Amino acid sequence: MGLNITDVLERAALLADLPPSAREELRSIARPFAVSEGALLFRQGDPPGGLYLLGEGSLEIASRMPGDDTSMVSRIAPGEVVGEFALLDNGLRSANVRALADSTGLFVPARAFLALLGDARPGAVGAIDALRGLVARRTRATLERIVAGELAEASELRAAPLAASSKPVDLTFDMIRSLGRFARLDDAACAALCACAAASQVERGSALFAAGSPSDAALFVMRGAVRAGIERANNEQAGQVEQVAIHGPGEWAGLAAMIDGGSQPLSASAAETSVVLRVQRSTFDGWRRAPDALGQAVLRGVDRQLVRDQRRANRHLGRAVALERFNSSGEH
Amino acid sequence: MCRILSYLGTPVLLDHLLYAPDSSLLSQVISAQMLDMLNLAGFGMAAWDPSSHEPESPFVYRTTQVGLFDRNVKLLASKVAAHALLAHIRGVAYNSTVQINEQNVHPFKFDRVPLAMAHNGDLAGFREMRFDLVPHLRPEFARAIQGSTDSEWIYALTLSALADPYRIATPEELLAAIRQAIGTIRELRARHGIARSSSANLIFCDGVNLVAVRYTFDFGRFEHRQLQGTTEFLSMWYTFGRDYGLHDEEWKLIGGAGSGDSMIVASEPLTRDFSTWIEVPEYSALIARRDGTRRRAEIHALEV
Repeated sequence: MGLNITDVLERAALLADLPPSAREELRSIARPFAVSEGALLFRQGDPPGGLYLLGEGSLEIASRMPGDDTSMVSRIAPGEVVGEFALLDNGLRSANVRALADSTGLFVPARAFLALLGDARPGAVGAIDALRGLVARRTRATLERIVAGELAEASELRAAPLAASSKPVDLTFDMIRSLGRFARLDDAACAALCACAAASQVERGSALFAAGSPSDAALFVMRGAVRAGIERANNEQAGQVEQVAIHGPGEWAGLAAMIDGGSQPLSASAAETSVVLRVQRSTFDGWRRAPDALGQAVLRGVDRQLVRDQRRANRHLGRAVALERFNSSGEH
Repeated sequence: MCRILSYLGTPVLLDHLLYAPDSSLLSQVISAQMLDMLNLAGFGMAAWDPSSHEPESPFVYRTTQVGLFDRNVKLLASKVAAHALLAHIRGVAYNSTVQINEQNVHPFKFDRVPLAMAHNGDLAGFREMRFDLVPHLRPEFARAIQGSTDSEWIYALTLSALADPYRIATPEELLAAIRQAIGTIRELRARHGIARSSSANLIFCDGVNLVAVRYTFDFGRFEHRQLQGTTEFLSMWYTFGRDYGLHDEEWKLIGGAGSGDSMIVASEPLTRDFSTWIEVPEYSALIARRDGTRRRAEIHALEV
């Protein structure tokens, strides 16, 4: 099977909206890969090496579960990518990927890609933002499956959020720098963040936004914890929440919607009394298009959290499936 | 900070949980995967061995030695097979103010009480609030507290909230007692103006049922400008299946979740590859209960 590198890059849906120069940048670091039918491309728990663009063949993504079960996650067709977390986060591989047929394509090593990104090369900046969109859409799809599915156990439901209750607070440079990724921000960058973000204290239990609301601003957790969840229409007590994630200091609430521009798939409320920053969409999108020092610090956290949020959504789905199987053992 | 390991299922040689896996509990003394800290301040366990004399009472062992160097644990672990286990390695601040003694080693288990408990975390400002907990304790449990840890008080508080702490409680009764204990602590923290993030990951086991709590008071809140400690919610993981052992060169439970009769719950997975493990959700309790010859597991929201 011959491999036409230009062809693989041209057919990659991920890169479709990027200019030809961006594809040229990726071509400079990509190298061919080939995997035989039945062989593993990588294993869950492996260190992340890079991203694979599939040119020919077919790949299957499968995840391991308790009891050594395996659950098929999805299939990858030519033009699609797999292993994209490696460019966003340095965590271990989150699934097994096996070739269903002899497969070839291009491998984009994370280290070389991140070097391009560090130099703010337009191709890498464009490609990473396209990846953000891809991961956010996949997370949204998983969350929509969870929302559409039935609640696993009523015991998991929590009290409905209270009416929104917040008061403005002053944001200080010390508070900003106390978060690891902002520790080295200079005064100018801290001042820029203070200028573009409104800080407020939100009381424990009170609502931040509802599912279905527009993603017109990004919410960053400075202190405390925000609960993201599904408000279930329960006969007894309407609006009780099935928790999907807890966002602590340094995380964003409703990130998938900020990236893909859709409405919020989950509701959010304060799990503890919290200090949150509200950043307007125009500011957030500006960081994505042309990141300055502050934008780069923000986006490093955004990229890691996008991966983490997808893992959380998958974990939520996988946990319900695994518990149901475990609890039905011995039943015939 | 500490690490906890618990098991409920068909009997397993303790060595296979405490030593054999590549991130076993005792290897976490010096190289935990999800904690940047050494756990040098002692090792303890309660192990229920069905073939032992009075199998409903656990075999209890505690040492203030660094667990990894304790030869007696190693020798015992190669002989005892347990169907239920609660084991703990203690990690404390690296200074001379902490008290390293046998009374402070987990798990805690008072005389004639079937329930044992181990704690991972610590309560900020505990010294200021602890004596206000006394009215919430049964007098015999207030007297039974021998150590200086917040953990032993949480244990005594939970026992005191049980209608009859001297018999095996149902998981529902135990969960209600845990909620009451957490509620009391939350109330006293508020009264004393304590709002600093304080972890209370707890595992309770009585040899029949197991309740694992992943909870933090005021998670992400700090009194000062600077963060103290970590911004991560303290971890807790579980896995299930049957026939725990070395399969295909990997320590794991096999047979699929659908044929599972055994469960491991721990502060972190026992293997570097944790793809068959799942996190207990934050602010939640995982219940593993005996249902005839089977086990059942449920997640319960902990909103206190």
